[in-house]
Amino acid sequence: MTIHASYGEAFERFAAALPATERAARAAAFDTFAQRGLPDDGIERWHYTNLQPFAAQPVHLALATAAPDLSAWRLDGCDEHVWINGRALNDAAAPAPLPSLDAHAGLAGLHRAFATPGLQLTVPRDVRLDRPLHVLSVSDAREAGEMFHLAHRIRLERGAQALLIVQNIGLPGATRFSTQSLSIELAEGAQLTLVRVQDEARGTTHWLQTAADVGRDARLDVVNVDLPCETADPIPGEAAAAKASGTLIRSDWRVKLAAPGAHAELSGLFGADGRVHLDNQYEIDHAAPHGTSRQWFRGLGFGPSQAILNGRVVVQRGAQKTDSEQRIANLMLAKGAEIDAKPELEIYADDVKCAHGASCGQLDDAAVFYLRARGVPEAQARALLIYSFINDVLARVPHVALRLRLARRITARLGAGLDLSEATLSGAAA
Amino acid sequence: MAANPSDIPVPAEGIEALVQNRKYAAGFVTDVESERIAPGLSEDVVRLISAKKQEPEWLLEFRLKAFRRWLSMREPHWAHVEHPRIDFQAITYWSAPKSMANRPKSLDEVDPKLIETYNKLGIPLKEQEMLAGVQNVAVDVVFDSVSVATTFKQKLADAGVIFCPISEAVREHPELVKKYLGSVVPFGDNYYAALNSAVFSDGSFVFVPKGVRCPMELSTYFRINERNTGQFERTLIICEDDAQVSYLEGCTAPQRDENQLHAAVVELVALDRAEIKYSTVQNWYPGDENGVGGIYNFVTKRGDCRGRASKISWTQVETGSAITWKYPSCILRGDDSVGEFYSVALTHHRQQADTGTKMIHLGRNTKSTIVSKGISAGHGQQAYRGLVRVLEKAEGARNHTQCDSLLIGDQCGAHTFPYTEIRNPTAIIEHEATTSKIADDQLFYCRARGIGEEDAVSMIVNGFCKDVFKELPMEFAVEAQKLLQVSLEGAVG
Amino acid sequence: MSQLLQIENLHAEVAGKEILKGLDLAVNAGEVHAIMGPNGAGKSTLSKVLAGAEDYVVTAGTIRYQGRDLAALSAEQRAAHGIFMGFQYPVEIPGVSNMMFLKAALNAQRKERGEPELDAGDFLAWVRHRVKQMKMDPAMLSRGVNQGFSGGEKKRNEILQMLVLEPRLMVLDETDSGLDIDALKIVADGINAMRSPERATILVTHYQRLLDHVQPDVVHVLAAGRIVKSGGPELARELEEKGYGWLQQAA
Repeated sequence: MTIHASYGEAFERFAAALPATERAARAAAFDTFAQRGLPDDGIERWHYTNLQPFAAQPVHLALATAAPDLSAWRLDGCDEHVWINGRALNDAAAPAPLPSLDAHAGLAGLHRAFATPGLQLTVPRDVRLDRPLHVLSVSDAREAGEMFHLAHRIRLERGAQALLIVQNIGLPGATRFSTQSLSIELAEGAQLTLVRVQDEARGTTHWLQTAADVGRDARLDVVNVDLPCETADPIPGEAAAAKASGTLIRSDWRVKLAAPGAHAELSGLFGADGRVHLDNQYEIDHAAPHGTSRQWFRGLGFGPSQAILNGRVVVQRGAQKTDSEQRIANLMLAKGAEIDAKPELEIYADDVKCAHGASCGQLDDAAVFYLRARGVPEAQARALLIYSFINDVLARVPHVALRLRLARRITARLGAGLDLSEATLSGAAA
Repeated sequence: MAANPSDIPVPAEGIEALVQNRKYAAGFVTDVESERIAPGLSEDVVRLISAKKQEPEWLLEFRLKAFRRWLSMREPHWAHVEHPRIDFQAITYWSAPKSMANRPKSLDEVDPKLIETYNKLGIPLKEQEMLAGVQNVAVDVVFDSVSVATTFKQKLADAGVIFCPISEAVREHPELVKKYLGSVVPFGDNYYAALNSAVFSDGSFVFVPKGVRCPMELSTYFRINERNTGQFERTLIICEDDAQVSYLEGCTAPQRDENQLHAAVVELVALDRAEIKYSTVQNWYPGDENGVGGIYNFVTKRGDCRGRASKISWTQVETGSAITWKYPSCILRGDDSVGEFYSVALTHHRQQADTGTKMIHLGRNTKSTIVSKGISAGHGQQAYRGLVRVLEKAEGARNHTQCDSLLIGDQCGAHTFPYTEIRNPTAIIEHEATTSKIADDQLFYCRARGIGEEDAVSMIVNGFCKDVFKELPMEFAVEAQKLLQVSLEGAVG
Repeated sequence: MSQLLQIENLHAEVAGKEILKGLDLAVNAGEVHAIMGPNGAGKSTLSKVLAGAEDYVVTAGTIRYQGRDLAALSAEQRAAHGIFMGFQYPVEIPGVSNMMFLKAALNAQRKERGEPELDAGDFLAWVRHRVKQMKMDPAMLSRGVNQGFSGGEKKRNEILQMLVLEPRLMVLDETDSGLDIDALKIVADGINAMRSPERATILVTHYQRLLDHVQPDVVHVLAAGRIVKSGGPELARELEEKGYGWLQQAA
């Protein structure tokens, strides 16, 4: 296991700035990383992704940079919390406990050793947050190999409700390596909707782990929008090495339905192009009876890229009356695209309803013709059908302006103008 | 909730047969004198096996290369099964009935004890007996490490079909064996295939020449008899252009307290427009209800649709073995070739199975169908593991996978691990999986109509497996249904 | 009366099999034609060929529409020029709302014709009015195109699309199948509402029952790929009574 010496140097620098009380735990975490390294594709859960090469490359702590112009990402009516290269822009730097992660030990060790506190949110009992929280984690790498590690912690007390939008933004620049964790705890009857939008820059290696504990009758809704870097052309400000190195985004979603009646709905939209490697691993662990879970995923193979979707449902012994369904549908749009889908079931109880389906195919020619017969040009017909294909997931984004922004981005990528006015989208039925 | 025996409708063969069937009927031991070598595995053992079989130098080389590769490999651990470490030095790699030292020239010379063994198992070795019945099946029987008899050889030879033990094929048709052996499953393919390639004992060889439809079903019956003996058979089936064959495989072993290893390799080659249908009813000893004993069934089966528009179809009914690790696969190399996999796997008591298939689409317009039915009862653990891979050049590839699990009782497990890897944008792939249980109201409804609980279970299970059973040849379908019923005994109530 | 459609000696095949074998047909503006015939005669093939489905290959003959050769026009251009096919089996497009679908179609057609696109408000009024006319629930506009619709709802939706798009030549392929009496009347009213001196309608049907509500000017019998007999409305009733056997023998 080769680990580049620069990791150790970065850690010494990082640890020197820590309060003495934290150092021991951080050092232990770093030791675990040093011993175990990063996961390789010989491990079943990392079957399609190998992080080990990144352990052998030089890294250094991301530099502090000035706040960039965020207007393109700003969402109206939200409470905004911004982190740039892992540093809070407007949140008080409160000490936070180290995240505990159920993940590859070496990778978890790396994250724990370097983690800086992200959003630390507790929503009190029966409080419903009026405004959505918009968390922006911006990565602005000026020099090759910059890294940062950010840990968010969210707790909703009994009956609390919130909408959280977590957006990762990569400004064009050098190659970089970052990790992020989201630890979520939902007490009895709490309801959280989490929208994650991944907008990392080319040349990024990023690992996200979201771990949620869903309590009795609580509900978690996740919409994960994981879209490709959208151009094959050079981007102003982008280092040649970043363009050449491709992008690797790995996201682990671990949801535990820990008490009876817990409900989780995960949906994801992913599309890859231009040497992007997207690996999404979802796991729902039914650990108590009467849990329900739904998962809807839509994947697009835009171009030379590899997208992986592993959706795993575990029903523990005793988790009777579990009701779980998972649907994965992928659309192959170009040569060179690879989509690997693996819907898994692991069931240790008998009185359960579990179903999953995965499909991979192309647009339905009959539907394209139907649209053309009504006068819609072929390119637009295809765009409309692709839009409708992903709309099942997109429609789950509760923030209308964000939903429209995402929809426009995708249809712009499809290259045919579609009317995405609100009136059309909602059907204006009323 | 034991069913009242008088509630059970009496099947055609009478209540006695039903009662007799209630245990692992194949669990007896045949008392024949055997020649066996000492346990343990080394290069010398590999040489000894090769020498005993008077093999040519090239085959010894094949074995030695495989052995050396095996030494450098690690046991695979990705399967969803658990077992204590296998001590490969405690296994005997060669055992043969003494009476086989000089292989009998005809069926009349076969040791009567062996004939009796197979009669007890319902496998008649006398051709006239078979003719008297309605069966039209040629049988090769493998007892521990050697083939003891092959029936209907002459009739097959008249049609141009070669059906014989693979050791005989090595002597009689070396050019064919040399050309095809290891061409589908290379000697270093995986840990158990490498082991098999080093120490394989006997197995069947089938060659169907150009344009010939094999005039009867071919069947091999495998039996492990000796204690602490591994069985490492090797089967090779080749169908030339436009040839067709249907091949059946059955297996049993005595009831013993220790685990025995069975690591077979089966290779199928289908040339242009050829069709091979390979059916298995696997009833190795599964161990007792506490998980003591039973066969470890670690098998590599793979078919190569090498020719255009060729077709390979696997059907398996897996009721036996303590552990099953088996993925009969198709390499769809020829354009328009077709691969099929139909499987029923049952795990009861402490049985574990990790089984499924791989469909590798290489050629254009290749199609594959996967139907997997898993039944888990008691503490059984069952996993479907399947791979559908569509490579860059496989324009127009199609796959449909249906993968259903039936759970009986709340202590068992049913798992599904389907991998789909798509690299061609014209592929159309569908995977569906469901999980169900035998519902109380279904059972009650049957009982209210006078059907005993176990019969109701068996009825529901057979309905669940219907899509697979209809792929089996008639005789096997009946046997498979009976096996399921016996294997599920005591699963409910 | 100006000729809207003229088909001469049309031969067409699908998947290498010849279905239309020298079909002639002329339709004037203002007329309603019914094309009847036994199963497999080529009725649906004719509709598909007119709509421009690529898997239906014209091997000989010509189709002139408004004086121009139709072969040069793609399916969407034909739609923009006013040819509307009512599908025998309308396609379900889950996720695309009817509203979005109609707007995309109408504006694409207007754009092709060089007309300004309708803004959202005008469009909404335009559609709502017609939804009411078809006695449909306005909520259907936000549902996916034909998604989860019954057979009858799908056919009604075809007529709604026709009303919204205001085509010149309507080719309705078995639009009456799967409709109950009430729905049949609504559909017929929709078709009748579109009758005008500059439009024409071709009703492709197996039965006469739609013709009780939509009076045709001309009835044709299509058998074995050709028009074998033409006549007035009375021919439809004759066919209903006698079936097609006598005609096939005559052909």
